[in-house]
Amino acid sequence: MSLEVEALDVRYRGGVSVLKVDALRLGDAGMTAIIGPNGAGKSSLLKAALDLAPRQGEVRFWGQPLADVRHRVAYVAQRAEVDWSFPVTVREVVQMGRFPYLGWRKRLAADDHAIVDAAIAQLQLDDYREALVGELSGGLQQRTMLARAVAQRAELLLLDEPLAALDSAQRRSVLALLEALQADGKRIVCVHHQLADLEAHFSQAVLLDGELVAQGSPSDVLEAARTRGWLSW
Amino acid sequence: MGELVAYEAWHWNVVWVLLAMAIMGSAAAVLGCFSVWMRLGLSADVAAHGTLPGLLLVVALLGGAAPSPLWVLLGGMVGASLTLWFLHWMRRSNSGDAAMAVALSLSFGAGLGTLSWMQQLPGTMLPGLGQLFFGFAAGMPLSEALWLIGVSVVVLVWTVLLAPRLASVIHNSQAAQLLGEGAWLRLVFFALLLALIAMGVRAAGVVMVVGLVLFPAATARCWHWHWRAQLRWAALIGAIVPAVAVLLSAAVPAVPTGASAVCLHALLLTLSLTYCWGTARSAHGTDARRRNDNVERLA
Amino acid sequence: MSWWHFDAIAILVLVFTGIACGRVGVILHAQRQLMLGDGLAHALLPALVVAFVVLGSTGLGAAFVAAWLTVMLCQWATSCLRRALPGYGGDALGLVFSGLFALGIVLVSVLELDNVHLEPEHILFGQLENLIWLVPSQASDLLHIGIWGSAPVELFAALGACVVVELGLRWHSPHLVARLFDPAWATPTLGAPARAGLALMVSAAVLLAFLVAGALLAVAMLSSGAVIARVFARSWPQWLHGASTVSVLIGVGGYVLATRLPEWLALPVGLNAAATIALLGAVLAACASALKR
Repeated sequence: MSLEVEALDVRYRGGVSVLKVDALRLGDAGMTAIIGPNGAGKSSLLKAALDLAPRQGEVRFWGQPLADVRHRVAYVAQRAEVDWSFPVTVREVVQMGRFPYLGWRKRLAADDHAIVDAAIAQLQLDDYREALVGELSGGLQQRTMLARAVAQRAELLLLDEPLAALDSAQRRSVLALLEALQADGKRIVCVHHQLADLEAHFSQAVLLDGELVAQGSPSDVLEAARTRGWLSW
Repeated sequence: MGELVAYEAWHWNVVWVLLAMAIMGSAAAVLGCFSVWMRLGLSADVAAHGTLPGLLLVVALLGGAAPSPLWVLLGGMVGASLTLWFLHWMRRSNSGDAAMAVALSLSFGAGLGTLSWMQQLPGTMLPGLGQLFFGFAAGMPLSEALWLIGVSVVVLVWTVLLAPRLASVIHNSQAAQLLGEGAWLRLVFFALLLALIAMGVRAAGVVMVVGLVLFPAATARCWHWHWRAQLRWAALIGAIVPAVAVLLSAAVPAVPTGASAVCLHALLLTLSLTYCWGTARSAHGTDARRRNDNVERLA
Repeated sequence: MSWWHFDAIAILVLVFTGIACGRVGVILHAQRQLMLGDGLAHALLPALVVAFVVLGSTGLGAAFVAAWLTVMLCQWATSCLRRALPGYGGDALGLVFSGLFALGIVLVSVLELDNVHLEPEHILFGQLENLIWLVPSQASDLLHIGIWGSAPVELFAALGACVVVELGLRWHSPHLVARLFDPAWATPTLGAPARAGLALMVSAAVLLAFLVAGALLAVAMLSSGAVIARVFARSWPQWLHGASTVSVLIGVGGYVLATRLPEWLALPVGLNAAATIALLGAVLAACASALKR
């Protein structure tokens, strides 16, 4: 079980609770989708798990606190949270994946470079190695972020709307790459909006709406949403 | 006998200055609410710094004579609007903070450069540095106080009259643009803001005027969530605090009026924040409403 | 009075200032917080007054500690205000710095501290033009290493600030790039950022800019190099070193213009060095932005 959450309560500014979850286990199967209406606490769940949002309750990754397993978890934030105008190349972004492993001199070693090259090749970014990330298309940018997670040797990928603002060709290519990563043994948890893709690509789904509403196979979760008349979003 | 007359004159001057600062503070507070809602950020601060080169230009045009309040108003407005135009132009290819930093460097570099130049010229009637930058409300002559009152009243009345339209523009700028209102309303708003800043800078100082604009809006935000009530609170706080500051600096002449007004504002904001921190008064309402909307829609 | 009494020290101080401020300016620009440089330079005033009253010294060490505490106080207060008043992005900073600057002005006027380099003249214009070094009697004296021991303390302050910024940058890289580009990934993966360390770098540069250019033009020292280099830089090292180089050129160029131009054009009055530097930097930044269009 990659991610366990107990008695979680996310509150911003000591005010109203955004998300309350008694117990939730995520990431035991290949690809898990988190779905729910706007403001349901989907992103807040990931952020609270990563200590990026104020929370009460306990979060454990493989039974340990985040501080002990930082490099095994990779987070890809929503597009708006990344500074795309920052002048870095694709290669430099993928190299960031090796930063948790650097020694006291903080230099990349030869095998670090080999791992970075392999990650770039795996995500089919060879043609764009020296391109500025900010000047690439949304699909290539998303692939760069995934390559960084690969270079990081992360076992659990937490993705916040990785398919947002991509056209259908880019979406297909990113989904295919995600499936390849899953076949590699990575566990992927993904905040997701396109319900049409759900059954085809995901093995697990979680429905949130300020609390945990349903969890299980995508078809069961969609059915639960449908029977409650909630499939309007 | 002569002493008595002097004392009387001083006494009445304080009353006029008190009135002028109260009305100016009130108008600044109301404009400040709108500038916060319009996400103008520190533009008011940049504009206030931009009045300096305009003012000095007027002094140079007048051949070194002390400018009348009308000239102060015109010069300040021209300088501030040129600065704001430059800021707007810089924003098209830079992030907002970088554009502001460069606009500030340009206008204030020009202002300080000209100032140090003019200080060396003989026969130039310039107020001291301390007066220019930190305000000289206490020593304000009657004519200037009257001008300050006049401009502030005009600004206040116009802003109150335009408040509903301004609020609708802020709330939904695209719809307002379709109605053809957005552009000219914004222009009028900026004209009012610049007029107030140009006059306020003389009373409160270049650096302090932004405090008078921003603080009452923030304090009012603590006390009520509705925009109309916030405007009322801001107008009230904005009037009382500078008036107290005038009395304070009349009692302790060493204390500059503008700076002590901003200090009092900061104190009031701190107290309001600590009072409102735990209560669900300030902004929690919006989050709660959004969740309720979802629940209603889903149920 | 010859150039080695005035210009040598001023130009050296400007070189160090350019290096330190260019680098810190780039970090602030990447965080979209360039106006923080302006705010902090204002907020330094009460800190310097309190440092003087509490410690009884105008020494630069006390000033540096005061600046460091101020930077952390401002960051904490701004983040508190942003949480308490949603929608107050840049205005939160405006509240903090105008409040603190007002406090500083009130303290200066109530305590009558006019004799401790805190009079309006110094707050507004900086101390660049007060740097006089009377020890060397001829230009060749500058070649003796021993004589530099008697140089004005501001020179060593500038060098020290430069060293603090450079060491901080070494210490924080390469993680700093990841934190600036994608903080949401960097914080969980690399651990929480060392705010106190970054604040140390920022306070060193802002204090130096405050001393050189005054409270209101400090932002010019910090911003113009970073803004100009941003237009041309295609990578982080280019941006960082470009900003430092451009800042040094603007600083020295502005100083030379201010001191020599009146002579060349036979003007009746002198130009203020800090204002000329700010103006030169802003004009060049505007030109660079026009090129980018």
